[in-house]
Amino acid sequence: MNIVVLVKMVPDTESRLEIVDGKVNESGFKYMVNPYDEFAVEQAVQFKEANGGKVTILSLFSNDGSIDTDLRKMMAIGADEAIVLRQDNYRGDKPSANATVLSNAIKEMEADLIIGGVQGIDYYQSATGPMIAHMLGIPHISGVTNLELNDGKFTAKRQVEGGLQIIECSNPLLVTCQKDMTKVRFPALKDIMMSKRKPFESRTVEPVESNDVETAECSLPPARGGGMIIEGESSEDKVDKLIEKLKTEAKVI
Amino acid sequence: MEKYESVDFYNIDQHFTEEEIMVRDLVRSWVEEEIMPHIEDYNSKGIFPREIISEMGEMGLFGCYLDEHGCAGFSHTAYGLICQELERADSALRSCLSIQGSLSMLPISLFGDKNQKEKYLPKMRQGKLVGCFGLTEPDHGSDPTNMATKAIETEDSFVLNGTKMWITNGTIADLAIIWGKLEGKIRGFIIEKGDKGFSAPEMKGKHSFKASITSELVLQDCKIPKDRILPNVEGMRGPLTCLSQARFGIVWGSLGAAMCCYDASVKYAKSRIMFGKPIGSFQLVQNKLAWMLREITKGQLLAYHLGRAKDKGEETSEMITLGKMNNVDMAMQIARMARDIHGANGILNEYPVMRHMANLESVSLQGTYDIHNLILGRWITGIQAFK
Repeated sequence: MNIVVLVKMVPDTESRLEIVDGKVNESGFKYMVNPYDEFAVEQAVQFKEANGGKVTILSLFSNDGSIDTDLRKMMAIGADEAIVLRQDNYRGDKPSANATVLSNAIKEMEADLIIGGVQGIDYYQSATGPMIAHMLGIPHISGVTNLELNDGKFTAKRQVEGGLQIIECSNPLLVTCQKDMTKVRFPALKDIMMSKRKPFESRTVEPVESNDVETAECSLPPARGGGMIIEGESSEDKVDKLIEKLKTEAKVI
Repeated sequence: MEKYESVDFYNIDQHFTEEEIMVRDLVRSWVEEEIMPHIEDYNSKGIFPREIISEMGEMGLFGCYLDEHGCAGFSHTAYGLICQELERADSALRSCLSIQGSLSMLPISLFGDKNQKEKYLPKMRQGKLVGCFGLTEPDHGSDPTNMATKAIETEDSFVLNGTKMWITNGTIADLAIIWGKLEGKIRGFIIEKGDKGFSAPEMKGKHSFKASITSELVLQDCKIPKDRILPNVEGMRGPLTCLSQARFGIVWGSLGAAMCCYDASVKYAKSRIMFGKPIGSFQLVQNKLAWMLREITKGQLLAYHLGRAKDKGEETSEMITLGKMNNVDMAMQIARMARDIHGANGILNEYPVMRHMANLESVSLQGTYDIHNLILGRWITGIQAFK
């Protein structure tokens, strides 16, 4: 089984978010593996351990090499190799452009299963995965909470409003993983050492034209206003004043 | 709860290898997910769940700087970083790593024979067998050379008598490395759980190191087969070699405790409002935070250089002594200062500072501040002041 895992590098949740002239200032960002994609890596490695095969990490990013160690951690979990597509002016909010570049790379990889997270925690678009499936002309199942492989057939479970959807599919297919699909292991020190010996390839790719939407402006949520302490003679008096304010000032009742 | 932020004011990270960073990050995330949510509970109940040892074994943390019997062969610096991350959670974790790796596996690895290594090391590495280390006695702490534990050789066995105290993991241990005198010379023996005449009652009533199991080891005519002596060492060199390695771990571990207290203090100082503004606005609080940052940064540089010296085999026991003395001392002061910044809240288990403060009182043993000064005094002057 040949498995390609899509791993997106997203700003570390501790990165300071600053807006300058309506744009996110990304200069000081540190990056980490998108948490949803970690579930995909773990699931892929479990399939490989049970059935044999190869797990390839595929990531599209800029020329910034600071992400390499975090990608190597995915190989410590058990992936066999990593391919990083390096693109000038890469942006995480262009799913169509990014899906084009990624699907071009996947075409040459003879993948039986392409698996990634349901969404990136940078822009939450949930688009790149399904777009890649479309471009490759293969089926996709998104937001999967449980994935099993028996006799070459995949059984996926999806949580839908008020129930559970079960889908059966043969390969090749693309799956995106929902949160907590599987518990991501803590690799052993030996695996960390082994990960250094696994192939890690950087390929330069050209930017592509796309009809991705453009962000017009970004803004932070408004700062919270100060609270108010309601004074009063008694509890009843205070409650009366509160109700009055909720009616006349907050206009919520 | 806000994410933990470690200190790297002088960009020391650039000097670590990629593997070292990966190991540190692995242990940090394990601690974050598996230990931090429960550590206050363990501490208040005075328990150290056995599964923690199994998980540490699965990750391959025990004896990770050894290069035999499946051990990972990592650098001493990587080991130091592991200690740092473990002790950031609680000294009990770092102590468990020290006892299993440096004080139980290391003596078997350095001084044991082939059979002993094959019998114990693979299972100890995996955390399937737990070891402990018996040197200190009720009446002999800083002067272990005068230990009272004695072994007598008979035709087919050794018979040991004596009591050891302050033994981490003693009660749950499957084997104990016991140092005792045979014909007047200090020798190492491997005692197994179940050996007749051996018992390991837990010591209760601690106000420090509460999440760690601390025990007495009692040997009453304890008879063991002859193949349980460590054949390749005699005298204090045996236990001191191990202790030096354990102290090296403390150089880094105390940094972890200090960073945890500093991190908690910074977050508290920025969020606690007093006189209408965060207490971090006040000069006296800023002065404390600046002092903490300064001391941690100095301690990191010291630990880093000591780690690299050890990786090259160029460290001396006096260098470790200085590092242990300095870093534990600064960590204790930072923990107390952190409690102060936290005000009354500092005594609550909602914050990690008082737990660390209490733990560090125990960490400051295992070669006390004064004894370390005397070791350095001897190195400087050539005159031993503690005899």
